[in-house]
Amino acid sequence: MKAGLGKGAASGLIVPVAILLAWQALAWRAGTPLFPGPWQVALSIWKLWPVIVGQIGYTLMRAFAGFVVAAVLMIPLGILLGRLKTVGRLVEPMMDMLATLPPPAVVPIVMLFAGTGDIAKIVIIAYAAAVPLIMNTYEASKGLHVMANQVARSLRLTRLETMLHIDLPASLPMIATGLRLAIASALLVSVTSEMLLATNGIGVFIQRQQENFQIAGGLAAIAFISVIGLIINNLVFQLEKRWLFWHYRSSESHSDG
Amino acid sequence: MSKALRRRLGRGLAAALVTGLAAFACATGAMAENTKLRFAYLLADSDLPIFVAQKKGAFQAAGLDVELTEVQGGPAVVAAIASGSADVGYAAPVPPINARLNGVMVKMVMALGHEVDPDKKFLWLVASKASGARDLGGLKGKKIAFNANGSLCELAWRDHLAQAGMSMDDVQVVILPFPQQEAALEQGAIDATCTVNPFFASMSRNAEVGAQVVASGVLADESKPILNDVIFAGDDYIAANAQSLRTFGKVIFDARKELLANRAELEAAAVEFLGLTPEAAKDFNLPIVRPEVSIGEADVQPLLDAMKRAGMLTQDIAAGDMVANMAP
Amino acid sequence: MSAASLTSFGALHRLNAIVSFLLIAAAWQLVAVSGAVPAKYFPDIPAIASAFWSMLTSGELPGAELRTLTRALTGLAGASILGVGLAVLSDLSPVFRRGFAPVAALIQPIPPAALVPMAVFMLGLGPSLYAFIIILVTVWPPYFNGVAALAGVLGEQIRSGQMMALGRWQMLWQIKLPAALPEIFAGIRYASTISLIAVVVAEMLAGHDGLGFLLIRKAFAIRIPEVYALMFVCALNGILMTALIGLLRWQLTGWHMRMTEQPA
Repeated sequence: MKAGLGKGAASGLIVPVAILLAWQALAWRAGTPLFPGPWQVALSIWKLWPVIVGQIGYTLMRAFAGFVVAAVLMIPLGILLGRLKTVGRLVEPMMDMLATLPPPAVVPIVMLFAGTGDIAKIVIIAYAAAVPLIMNTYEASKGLHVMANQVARSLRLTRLETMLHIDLPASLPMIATGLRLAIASALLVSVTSEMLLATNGIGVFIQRQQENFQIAGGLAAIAFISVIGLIINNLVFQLEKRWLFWHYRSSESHSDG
Repeated sequence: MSKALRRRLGRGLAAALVTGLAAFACATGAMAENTKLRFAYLLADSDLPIFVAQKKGAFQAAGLDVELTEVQGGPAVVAAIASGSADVGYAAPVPPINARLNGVMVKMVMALGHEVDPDKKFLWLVASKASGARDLGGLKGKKIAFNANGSLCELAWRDHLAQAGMSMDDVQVVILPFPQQEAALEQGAIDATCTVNPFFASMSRNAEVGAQVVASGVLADESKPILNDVIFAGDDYIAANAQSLRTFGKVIFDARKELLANRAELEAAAVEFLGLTPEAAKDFNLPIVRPEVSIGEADVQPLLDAMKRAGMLTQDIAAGDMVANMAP
Repeated sequence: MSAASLTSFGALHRLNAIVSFLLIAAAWQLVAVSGAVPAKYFPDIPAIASAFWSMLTSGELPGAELRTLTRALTGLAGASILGVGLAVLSDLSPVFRRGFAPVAALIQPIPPAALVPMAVFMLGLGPSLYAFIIILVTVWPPYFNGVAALAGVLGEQIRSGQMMALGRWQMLWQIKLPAALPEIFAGIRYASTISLIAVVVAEMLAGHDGLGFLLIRKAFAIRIPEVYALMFVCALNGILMTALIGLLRWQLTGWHMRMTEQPA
C-alpha cells in the first residue's frame, strides 16, 4: 500500500455504503418482516449475539477441519496430477463429475457411511472445499511454462525436487486463489450441511429463525459468517502479499485486501 | 454521448416500454375469461385432490385458471404469498400461525386434513429395534430426528415428550429430511424419528429397522379432531377474492369426494402425482376425518395451546385473528 | 487452428471421460457388492441403470435434463460476463476495487438456502429467483480469478504495451485480457461446476421441473435407484459442461494451450 492510506480507505467505503443504503431503501419500501433492512439486522445482532457466538464455534470448527483435510490432500494431489500428464488427463473428467454433485444429493450418501455426527459434516465440507483447490492447483501445475521444465532439466533436478522447487512456487499464486475460494466454500457448505443434517451450529440457528419468520435474526447470524469470511480472506491476502511478493511486484502495486 | 441525447433516448425507451406494457395488458385482458388463482404448495398427500382436479380441468370448468407452483418448506409458501407471487398456499398449520405472529398478514381459509383418536393418525413417532426403546420413556438420552424446525413433527415430539414427563433437553435432536430417516434408523445413526407416509409404511415393512411406534398423532390428546393441513391466503386477497376462494374450495371438496369413493382412482393418482410405486400406493390414504373443508377457531385453538405449552410460542394468542373460513 | 486438431481434442476428451466414468461406476459397484451398506440404500449399478432407462424412456429425464442444462448454461454465461466485468472494473478503478473487494468477501460465504425466504419475497418464484441463486454463488470464481490474473500480468508485457503507446482500453483489450484469459478460464471452469450445483439446488428449493425437482420428487416417493440415477446424470453434466468450456477455451486461448503442450 502506498501513501494516502486514509484517503484510500475513505474512497473504498463508497461502494459498501451505497449498497447498504440501497438495501435499506428497498426494505423500507417492502415494509414486511420478510425483507428486513440493515438496520433491523443490526438490531437483531445486538439482541442475539450471545446465542450466535455460542453456536458459531461448532460451525467454524467443522469448517476449519474440513478445509484442512481438503488442503492437505488436494494441493499435493493437484500438483502430482499436473505433472503426471497421462494420469492427470484420465482423472480430470472424474474431478468434473464429482465436482458437480450438489451437497443436498451427497449428504444422504455420506450419512450412510458416516452417520449424522461431526465426521459426516466434515467429510461433506472437505468434499466441497476440495473442488476449487484441486482444480486450481491442477490447472496451475499443468499450465506451467515449458521454460520452467527446461530450467529444471538443465539443473538436473529430480522429479520430487522439480515439484517442490519449481512447480509449487510457480503454482502458488493460482493455489492462493483456490485457497480463498475453498475457504468461502467451506464456510458456505458448513452452514448448508448443518441445515441438512442438523444437530448444532449456526445453520440450525438460521433455519430456526427462518421457520419462525425472524428473517432479520437469520441474517444477523449470516453477518457473523460473512465477517469471519472477510477476516480470513484478508489474512490470506496479507500472507499472499508477504510470500508471493515477487508475483505482485512484477506488476503494478495492488491493494484490494 | 451528450446529456440531451441521453435524456431523449431514456424518454423514448420509457415511452416504448409503457406502450408495450399497455398492449400486453390489453391482449391478456381480452383473452382472460376465467379468474386466475396462483397456488403455492408443499408436496403432500392432501394435495392429491387438487392435482386430480387440475388434470381433469375441474377448476377451469368452474371458472378458475389455477397455476400450481411447488416449493420446499412452509416458510417458502408464506414468502410466496407475502410477495404476491402466489395467491393461495398450502402447508401445515404451524407456518401460517408463525407468520401471523410475526407480522406477515395471512389467514387460514380452509382445512384439508385432521387427525382424531383412535386411529385417524397421519404422523408417527417411531423407534428402531436397535435403540432398545419400547416407549417414550425409553428415549431418554437417545438421538431423535424430525424433518424441520417449526414443523408439525417438532410440535409432536415436544407434546408427546411432555406427556411422558420429559422435554427436548432429555434427548439429542437431529434435523433430517423424511427420505433419509429410514436409512438412518437402520444404520443406527438415529434411535427414533417422527415420520409420515409413505415413509412410515416403508419403515414398518423393514424387518431390519423393526419399527416400534412409541406414539402417534401430532398431539398426545386427540379426543377432538386436530388440524393437520390448511390452505391460507393473504388478508388483502381474502377480502377481494372471496368468490374465487369459495369456488376453489368447492372444486377441491368435490374432487375429494370422488377420490374417496373410488379406491382404484385414488391409488392411480398417488402413483401419478406423488410418484409412489403401485405397491406403496396400496397403503395410501387421504388424511381426511371430516368431509367438509371448513375451518374454525376451535380447530386452531388446541394447536396454539399446544405450541404455547411446548415453548414454540412465547405469548398468549387467540385463534380469532388467524382464521377466515372460506369453505363453500 | 486446424479442424483436425479440434477433432482429435474432442475425441481424446471423450475417451478420457468414458474411462473416468467407467472407473467411478466400477468403484460404486464394488462398494455395493461389498455389502457395507444395505442394497436398499446403496443399489448396484444394474439397478441404477435400469432406473435410468425407465426415466429416459418415460420422457421425464430428457425434459428435466434439458431444462437444467439450459438454466446452468444461461446462468454460467451471465455470471461469467458479470464476474469478468467486475474484475475488469476493479482493474480500471482503484476506488471500485477497494470498495467491492470487501463486499465480495462478505457475500461469498453466504449459503443460498439462507437467503431463500427473502429472495422469494423479493423476486417471486419465477426465473429471476433462479438467476439470483445461480449468480450469487457462481459469479465469484470468474471475479476472483479475473482480479488475480489481471493483477498478475507481467511488468514486461505492460511496459511493452506502454512502449507502443497503447491507451487504457487498448492495453486492457490487447495486452491484459489475453494474458489473463487462461486463469480466467480456470475460474469459469470452476464456476461451471457450481452453476450446475446452484441450478439443481434452486430447483430443489422452489421449482416445478428440472433435475433438482425430480431428485426431490423421487426421494419423497422412496424410489432410491432413480435418485442415484439422477445423481449420475448430474455427474455426467459436469463432463458435458467442461467439454463445452474446453472447446470455447481452445478457440480463445489455443496459443497458451499449445505453448504448454496441452491438448486438453
